[in-house]
Amino acid sequence: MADLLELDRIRLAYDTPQGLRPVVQDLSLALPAGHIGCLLGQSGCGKTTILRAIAGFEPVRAGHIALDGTIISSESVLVAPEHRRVGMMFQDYALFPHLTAAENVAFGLRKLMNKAQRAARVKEMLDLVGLSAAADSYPHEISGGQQQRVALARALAPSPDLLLLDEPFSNLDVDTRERLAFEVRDILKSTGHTAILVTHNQAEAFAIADRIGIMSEGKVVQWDTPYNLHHHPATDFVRDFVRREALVEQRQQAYARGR
Amino acid sequence: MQTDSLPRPWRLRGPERGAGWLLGAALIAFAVLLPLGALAWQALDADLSHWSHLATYVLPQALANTAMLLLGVGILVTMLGTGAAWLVTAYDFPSRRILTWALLLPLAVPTYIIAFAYLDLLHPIGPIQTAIRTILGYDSPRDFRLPDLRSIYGAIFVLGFVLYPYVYLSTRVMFMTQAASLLEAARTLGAGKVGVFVRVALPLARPAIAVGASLALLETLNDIGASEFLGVQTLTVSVYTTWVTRSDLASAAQIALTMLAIVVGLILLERHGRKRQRYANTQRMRPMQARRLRGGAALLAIVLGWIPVLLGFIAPAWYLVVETSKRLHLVGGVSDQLINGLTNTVTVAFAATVVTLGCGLIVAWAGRTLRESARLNPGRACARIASLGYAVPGTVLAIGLLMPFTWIDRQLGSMFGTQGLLLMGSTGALVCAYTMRFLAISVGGIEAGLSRIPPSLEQASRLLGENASGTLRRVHLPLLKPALATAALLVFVDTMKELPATLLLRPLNFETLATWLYAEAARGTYEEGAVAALAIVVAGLVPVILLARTNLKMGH
Repeated sequence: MADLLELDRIRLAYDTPQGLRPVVQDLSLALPAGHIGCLLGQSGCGKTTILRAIAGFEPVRAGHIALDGTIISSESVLVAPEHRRVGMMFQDYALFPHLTAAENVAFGLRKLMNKAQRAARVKEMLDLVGLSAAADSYPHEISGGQQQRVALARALAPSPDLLLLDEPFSNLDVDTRERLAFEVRDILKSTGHTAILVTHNQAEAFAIADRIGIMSEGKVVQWDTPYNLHHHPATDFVRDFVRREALVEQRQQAYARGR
Repeated sequence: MQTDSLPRPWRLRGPERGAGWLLGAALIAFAVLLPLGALAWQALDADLSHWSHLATYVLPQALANTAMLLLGVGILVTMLGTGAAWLVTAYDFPSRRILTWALLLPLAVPTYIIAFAYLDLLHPIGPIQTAIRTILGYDSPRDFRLPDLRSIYGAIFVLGFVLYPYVYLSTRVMFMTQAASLLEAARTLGAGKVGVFVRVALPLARPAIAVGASLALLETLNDIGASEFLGVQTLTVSVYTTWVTRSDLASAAQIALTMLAIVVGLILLERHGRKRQRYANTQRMRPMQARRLRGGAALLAIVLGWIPVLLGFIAPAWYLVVETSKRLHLVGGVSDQLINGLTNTVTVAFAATVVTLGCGLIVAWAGRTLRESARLNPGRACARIASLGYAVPGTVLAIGLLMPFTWIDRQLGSMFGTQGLLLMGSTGALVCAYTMRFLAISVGGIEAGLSRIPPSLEQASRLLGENASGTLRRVHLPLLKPALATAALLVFVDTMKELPATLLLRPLNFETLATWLYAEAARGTYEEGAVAALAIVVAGLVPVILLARTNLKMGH
């Protein structure tokens, strides 16, 4: 299968009064269509910056990012976020507080379809995440888990080529987190969406992702399937990182039971 | 699910932020710098014979008067403001809670109105001096009279009693948030009640005093009415008379430039204070426990606390109410000219509010950042420049605008072949001047409102296909409504009260409430001035109430 997303030797850096401070150096990875990728690492390792670069909020200083064969970010190209067909689920969900759940989901559809199609699509998406009953509620009236489903429905409604998930489960309590992580995987697989998840939680990463990148200090140490990370770690760092295998498999079984 | 049926928008290469917004913000920032540039040009262009005349006959006296006024007002507002803030923070006594916000009331009285009121109140045959003579048993003003208010000391007195709330506000917030544990530590180390204030509270409050006092002094520099009524030839008054009576624009520009130098000094003082204040603010502390006063001490506190309110607000406001009701009973209504002045004021203030808010929105929106990694934000630089007008005295701004406006009028005239003056002959010039002077209020208010909206909302909107303008319209404008309403109110009232720039830039025979009052006071005909003044004070109360609600909440 062709790679949908390709990051080719990208470099990301922040402007500081002392000059450019590099955050990510020479990073490459590719994700085939329909797969769920995951960047796993401690906070401050640059994983969120990579997500922001894919979304178009940060420029690429070297290398390029290609989506479906088109270069969307390079030293000389920066396609505006609204033209990328990339959706994103934010850590704080970023629901518009003045709009109802249905209006939030409809937000990105206005330029794509007429009113009747929009209403049908909103209903379809809310059904998909199991929130039809809360269509007319405002974000502050529903629970954190429900807000997250609205955020997922909103991000998927315009049918983006790629979905980005920034620590999507970190604001939820442990029980909800495990259940929802699993649900999100099911939904993405059923719609055939390609997605990239950023997290510091191993259990979450191994439960959801088809490909995982272990990150350290602005580099992807190994970009591989969960199986290979377990059985063929590329470096000592990766082996130490995923050592608590038993615990992880235990978690995976717990997720499977939830299914 | 059918995803293929969805139409694909074109993939466009676009700038990360709407370039149009940045361009708009840059134009607005340029417009604010224009009068300052024009002023410098005008001042340097003039031949130096003017300058030597100025330097010999006008400047020394005006400079001395202004320096004296700034010094006196600075000392008075610092004493009144810091003292009052300490009194209501450190001590508890009957009426303290009311006093906490009542101390802000003088902010509603513009400097020219308090001078106007006291000139009549303290007139040798006015109510106060007559009462004193009756008590002391004198028959005529020839036997006994108070020192004349029309002096530099009178000006310091009236300005100090309406401008001290700037210092009160900044020091009060400081005392409430910072002082408690430090003061308690000082007490345990054996410092007495007075020692705590002098050795701990006062040094702590220094940055806050610098901020409040520099704002009060900028107002002092801006004042034209009070100094003029009280016969104090300050720099501001000199600029005005040099242009209006001598039509000498070059000299006026030179004096105005001198004033700008003082303004820069005051801004530096304020910045310095703010920097140190921020430094202190990082440690959050609980409010201090007020000491309960009883008996004579409580009475003394009540008297001391209410004196600034009495002199700065109650006395002049009461005078205006009495005079207004007398006038209404006598004549049975107000004149058409006054109604006309009111209509003019409201119309021009409304127009200025709309323009100021629109410009503020453009500047603030261009200044927000989508990129976390950016060091230089040109939009934010524009916002800082566009906000400079708050510090430029109205007279200086007006003189700086005369030349560009005349030039634009001439260009427009030759373009359309008309004789009329489109800007100077209409209220267009006024609206421009108000916008520049009060843009800081709307930019600041909208920026504060924007900062309360999480940046992820804009990112979400952009990723859902909206561009910068669409995001502003669909997400941020609805969420900014309260901030916009507050900013609109503040700009509207400040425009209503504005006198110095209005005097210089209004079209012929165009009177606002403020200029109407000025004309009556200048002529010495106290007819309907009180009615106009009362209308301005009542409008001015609204922002004071808002201020009290947002800034002094912690006290309750």
